[in-house]
Amino acid sequence: MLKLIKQYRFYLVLLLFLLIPVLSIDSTNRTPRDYRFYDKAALLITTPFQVAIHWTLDTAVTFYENYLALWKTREENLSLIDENRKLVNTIINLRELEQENIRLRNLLQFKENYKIQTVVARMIAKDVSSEFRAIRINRGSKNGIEPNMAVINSEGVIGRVLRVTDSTADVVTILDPLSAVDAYIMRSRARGIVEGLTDALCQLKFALRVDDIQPGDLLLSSGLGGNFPKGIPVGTVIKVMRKSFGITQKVEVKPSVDFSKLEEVLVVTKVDASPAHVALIEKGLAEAASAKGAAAVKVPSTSADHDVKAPVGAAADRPGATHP
Amino acid sequence: MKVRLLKALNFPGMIVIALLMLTLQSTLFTNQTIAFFQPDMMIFLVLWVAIKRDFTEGGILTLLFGYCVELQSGAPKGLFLADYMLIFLTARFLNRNFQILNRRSLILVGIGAALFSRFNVLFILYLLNKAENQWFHTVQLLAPTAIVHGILIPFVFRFLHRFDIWSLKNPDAEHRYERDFYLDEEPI
Repeated sequence: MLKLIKQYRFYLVLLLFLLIPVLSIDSTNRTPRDYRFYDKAALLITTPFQVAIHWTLDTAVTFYENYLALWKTREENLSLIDENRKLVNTIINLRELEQENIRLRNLLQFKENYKIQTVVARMIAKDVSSEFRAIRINRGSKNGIEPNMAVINSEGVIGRVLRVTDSTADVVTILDPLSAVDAYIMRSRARGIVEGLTDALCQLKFALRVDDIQPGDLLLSSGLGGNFPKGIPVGTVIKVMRKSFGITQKVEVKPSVDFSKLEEVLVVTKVDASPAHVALIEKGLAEAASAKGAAAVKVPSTSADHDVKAPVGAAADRPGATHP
Repeated sequence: MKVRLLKALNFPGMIVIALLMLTLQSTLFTNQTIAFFQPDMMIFLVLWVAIKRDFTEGGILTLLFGYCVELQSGAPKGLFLADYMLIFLTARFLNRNFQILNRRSLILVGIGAALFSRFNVLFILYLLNKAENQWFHTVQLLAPTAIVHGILIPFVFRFLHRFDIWSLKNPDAEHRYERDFYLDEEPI
């Protein structure tokens, strides 16, 4: 037996090498995963480096913005160099603080509006592969974060928690091709599933062809599944492709969240929103949109093949402008 | 004793290098301005172990590299294990018939591996019924990432070569070390 194993050792190892990846492929690919102890051990090595590199980059950018960018001004104002630099640095620091204050106040306001319990976290890393769009945040199970919890910010839905360690959590954003968020159009109540498409776009799947969807329509989370609170903005419809046949229509959605400028996020630990409260939020969103005074966009008839595109600038500004 | 210790450090050293490379990949390379050219550093490591390690050690390292990547990514479980194993086996197979003679051929290997990896991922996603949203993105990134891989591969390979020399994994380095050792022993 031993001799046989020795004789066919290469083929046995080859078989093993092929079997391990094939067996480990997760065909369901939407089930939440938890870190095991060896995962945590490996993360223990990388997380401090990630935090350190992120901090270094942040510091370098801040250094560049606060000091190097002002180098020219310093040369031009030689006589007042010390005083000027201090003043400008102070102003920039104050502006940074003001911006942070506004962001945090928005988050707080958002949290109060939606009657949710949340944990504030900061993004520390992004997905290593360009195919997937997950992020890592600096809060974990120690802070009460669990897999499948919704992650949002004052702009809207970001994604859901995939897995957690004691001090970090991985979040699958709605831009990820494997993410799925049940959502509905605020104006017409048409439903669908929002899935990731590209680095900046999502698509609304399973929306019926007969559903009334127009560019500029605002998509809100439906709250189905219990992960996301109901009524959180998911995105704005920017393109509708409807054919004269078929069951569904193709809808492209621009997420409400600007993922390129993501910094602080809220992890929803508890949802406490009544239907009446959701109706109130929707009314507020519609009023906010109509206050911007964006023009309505007409959708062509559904009898022929056509693409409907939102005019530049109208897509983001027009959510719910034509509330029935 | 020192030779054994250094040699034993090579295997865990490769894992630590992989983790550090992934850390760079998830922080520096995800910067918005260069995200379009984001390289997959693990491909270099997989190619290196496919060429420079024996079949079993290289295969185990490849599986561990895949595991490390999946730890840092939201990708479906097993996707990168399968992708890297395919690259490893293909590189080993090709290494039996072809040789990397100069820098130009090394650059070609880097470009080829990057393209192969992208199509692998797309194919596995297709099997999982998830390629629908991905193919356009893959095609978009194909050329920039392939070029970046081609540019980076000589540098990464040089670094890994130095690491192998330091840890005496490289046979020449080991011989040189032993020769120096015996010379030291000779009476003056």
